[in-house]
Amino acid sequence: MMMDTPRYKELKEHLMEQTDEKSKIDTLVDMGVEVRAIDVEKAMEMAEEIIQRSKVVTYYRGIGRGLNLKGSCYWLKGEYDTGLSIIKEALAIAIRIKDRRLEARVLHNYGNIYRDMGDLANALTHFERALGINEELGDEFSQSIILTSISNLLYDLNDYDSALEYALKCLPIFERAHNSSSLINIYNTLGNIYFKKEQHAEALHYFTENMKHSEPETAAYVMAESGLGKVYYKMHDFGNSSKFLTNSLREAQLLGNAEVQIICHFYLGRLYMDDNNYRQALQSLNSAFTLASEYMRRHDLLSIHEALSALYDNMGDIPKAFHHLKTFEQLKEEIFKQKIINELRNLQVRQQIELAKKEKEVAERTAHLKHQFMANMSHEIRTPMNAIVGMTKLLQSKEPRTDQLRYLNAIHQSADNLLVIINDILDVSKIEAGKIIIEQTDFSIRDVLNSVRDMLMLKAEERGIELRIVVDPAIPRRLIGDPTRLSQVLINLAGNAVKFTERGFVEVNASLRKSEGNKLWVRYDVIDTGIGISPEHVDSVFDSFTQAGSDVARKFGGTGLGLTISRQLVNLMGGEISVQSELQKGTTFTTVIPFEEAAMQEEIKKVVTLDAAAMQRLNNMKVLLVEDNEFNRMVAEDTMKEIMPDIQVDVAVNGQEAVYRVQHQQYDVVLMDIQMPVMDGVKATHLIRTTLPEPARSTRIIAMTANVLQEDVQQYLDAGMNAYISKPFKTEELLHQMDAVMSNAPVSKTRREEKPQEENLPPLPDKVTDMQFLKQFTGDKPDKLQKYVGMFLDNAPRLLESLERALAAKDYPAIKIAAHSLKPQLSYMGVKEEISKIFLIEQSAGAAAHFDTLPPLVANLRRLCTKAFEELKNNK
Amino acid sequence: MAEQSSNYIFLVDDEPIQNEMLKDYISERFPYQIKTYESGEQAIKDMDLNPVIIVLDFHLNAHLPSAQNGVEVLKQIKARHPQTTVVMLSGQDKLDVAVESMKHGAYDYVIKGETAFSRMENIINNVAEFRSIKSANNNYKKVIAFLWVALAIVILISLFLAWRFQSYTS
Repeated sequence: MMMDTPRYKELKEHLMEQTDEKSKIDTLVDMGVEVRAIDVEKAMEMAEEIIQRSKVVTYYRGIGRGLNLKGSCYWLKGEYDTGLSIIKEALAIAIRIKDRRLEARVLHNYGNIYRDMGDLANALTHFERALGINEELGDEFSQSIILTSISNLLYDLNDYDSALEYALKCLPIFERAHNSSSLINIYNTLGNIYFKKEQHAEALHYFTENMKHSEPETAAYVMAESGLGKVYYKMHDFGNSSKFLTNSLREAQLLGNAEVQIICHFYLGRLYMDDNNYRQALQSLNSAFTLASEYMRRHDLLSIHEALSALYDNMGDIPKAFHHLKTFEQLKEEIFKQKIINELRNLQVRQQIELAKKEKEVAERTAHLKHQFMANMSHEIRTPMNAIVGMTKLLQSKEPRTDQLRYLNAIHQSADNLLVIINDILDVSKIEAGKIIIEQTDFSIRDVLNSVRDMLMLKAEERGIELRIVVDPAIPRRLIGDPTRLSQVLINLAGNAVKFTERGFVEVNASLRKSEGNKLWVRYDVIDTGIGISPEHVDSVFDSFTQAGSDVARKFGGTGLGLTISRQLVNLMGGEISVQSELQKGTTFTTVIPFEEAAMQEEIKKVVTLDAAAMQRLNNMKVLLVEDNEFNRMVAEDTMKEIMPDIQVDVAVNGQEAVYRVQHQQYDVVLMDIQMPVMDGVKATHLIRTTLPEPARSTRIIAMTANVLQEDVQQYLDAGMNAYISKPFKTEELLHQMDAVMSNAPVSKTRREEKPQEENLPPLPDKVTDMQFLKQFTGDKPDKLQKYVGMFLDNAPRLLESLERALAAKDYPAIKIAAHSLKPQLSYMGVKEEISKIFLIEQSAGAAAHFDTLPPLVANLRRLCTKAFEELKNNK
Repeated sequence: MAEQSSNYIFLVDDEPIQNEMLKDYISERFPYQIKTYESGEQAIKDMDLNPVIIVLDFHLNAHLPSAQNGVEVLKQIKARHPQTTVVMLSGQDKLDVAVESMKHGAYDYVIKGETAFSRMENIINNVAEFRSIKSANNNYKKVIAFLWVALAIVILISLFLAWRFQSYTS
């Protein structure tokens, strides 16, 4: 047979010019590959020659390539086992001489052989390894060849969409390379895929294209012919189909190409079957079957069994039809093992998963670092701020000259501003970490607005603008919500308004929007006549770090976080915030927040100020101040001495010293810093609480800390501290906390919160129980009703007691369980949730941040239950 | 079938009042025999009575801290008597409680309170309906199986006759 493909001629000429034997061998291999597609026997001979010549000059790469070529020839001849054993040698050589390219080629041939043997899992593994090597080498063309093979594999697995995707990826690369054998391959693959997808026009196109590109009487040509035959069969063009298939079969028989013969026999068989010519059909299918079995082509066998089953069914030979159907099912099971499909899926998603995993890791690490950074920042900034604010206050009280007082006021003001900024940043990080919990307590909206006025009045007067506060009389006096966060939002909004307004007024207007039952929506408008916000900035004012143009920040100062925080807080409270603005005219921020109307509308005054007796008691105290920072020590000591001249203050500079002092002297209160060298405050407290004898063990300890994140505070309380104050501390807060811990019995027995004052509790309604539900439930039978009431009276006091016991023991899970059990019973007795707050108790006992709110809640519950029990007993 | 059996409903709650009210409510409306238990352990001991429905409190340790909680009991019941319908009762409307219950095979989940009783009534009705449908379904299955067998016999006989007929004619 003539070898006259252009590539072959080119190589042959090239061979003539070469003198070096090794280069000649390389060219021979390329020629062999070219020949292989047309004449396998000739290629085999060439491979043999290559191996021999390479051995003479001990050219290992040549031997390896020769063996690989020879193995692939056996593959094409269908002698898979021989082929495998030969390329095994080639692989060993490739690995020994570390020729990655050769290794990839051999692996690719492994995959080809396994694929034709129907061992798809193994085929895939080898293709993947080959692909990996070519990716490393950056060899796009070789990658495409392997992708074509994977595409074929996907085709075998009936995943035609993915197969098409891979094949179309390769097509342009081969077209660019003008490599005819690869092109023929990919056309064939595409033809087959479109055939299966029943896009017959496309299939015909690619098979026809293939016939144009390949020489007549070659494997590729007959393959294309058979392809056309099967497409026409599917298109019900039986004349054309029969023509192409018969032609192709004859030529394939001459070439000895089993694959094409099988295809032709198979489709001819089906043609005959459709024509009801069962005898001929059976003959064709049996020929296909014999060939497929001989060459172990499991995929073809699969289709042949299916067709045979249908044929025998038509012929009425049920047992044989059944036999083939069963074999078909078995084979299908074997080939389509879930494992292979999974592996294929993995190939596609593996990279995505790895990428996602890495991203997640990075994100987690970043979040952790960020949190740690915020905690550190908060400490590092607050400690010196404490010194600045404290000492400024001390100086202000030392009767400075007027000009000095002015400077001191300026320092004070600046420090306060800086604190606001720090708190802003902390708030943002807390909101982002989900650490802010919205409280539900009884409060007065008018008080909140008054405090807003107090805060901003001075600033407004300084700037010469009017500050108006308007409250709708329809808003109830007492609401349930979070006054701290509400006032934070309003101060933020109104503070901004004052800051950005140069003349005119700022108005805060609270109005009742609507109410349903005890739920009501309050609308706050913060209106100013300031510089306004330009339309392009209006939408982004709530985003972090944006102000109305970056020059604004320079002129007016601030972090730009205030509005972000406000919006997030409003969202947390279940409300909405929006803005309307006109440049140079003014801005209106509108926020609507839902609240509940409190059951009791009487005003409750909190007892905050300390009476003379309390001051006297504090004045006679002996205090241990534990603080490593010299300035902070000075501030704390002088602040206390300023107000309580007779107070006795000892100093320790770290936790170890504190433990020593507490052991040897009796102190009324220890003020304990947390972060200290040698031994920190938490450790020291733990040692005092666990290792020292009484009464030193029960010494009251107040944490002084800049770390006010909730989980930190919980850690201090868990270590046995009685209370905490945040640095920089306010004098009143310090006094209040000292008084609170002093007026309690030692910690080992109770805590300050556990003695809530009766007068702090809201009054109860006249009647707390309601028999309406029970009456309805029992169908108005008094004996049954009494039975339930009796059981309640029997059981509820026990639950109440265990709840109180759990509170005393700080066994919060037990509080939760007891409250949980009591809740439905109270509702059966008609006790309203808003009076009993039993649900709130249950919730609070589950959240460390709210443990402090429990003692008054439980006291309220006790008082309520006592009343309820009485009412129920009297009913009897 | 193992599930067709008794007429018992078990109520398991450590709050006697809850048990008592539910017991009265159900017994006024359904012909079931009702047994009440203060702990899951006691109820499990009586499982050979083969109850149709067990109403189980989610928190069973308000009085006895050592008592097993509802989910533990649910798991044990479901492990040994998978056919028993278990309805969980809980004092609070929390998704994780519901999920936990359903995960371990509870049939439904009811929140304690004034509406719990009518919900329980609906559930008992549903369970009864479900069971009757299930047994009807089983009957149908049997009928279908029988028809298949009959069909096979008919085919065999006709094949046999055809063969006989052929051998006569040839």
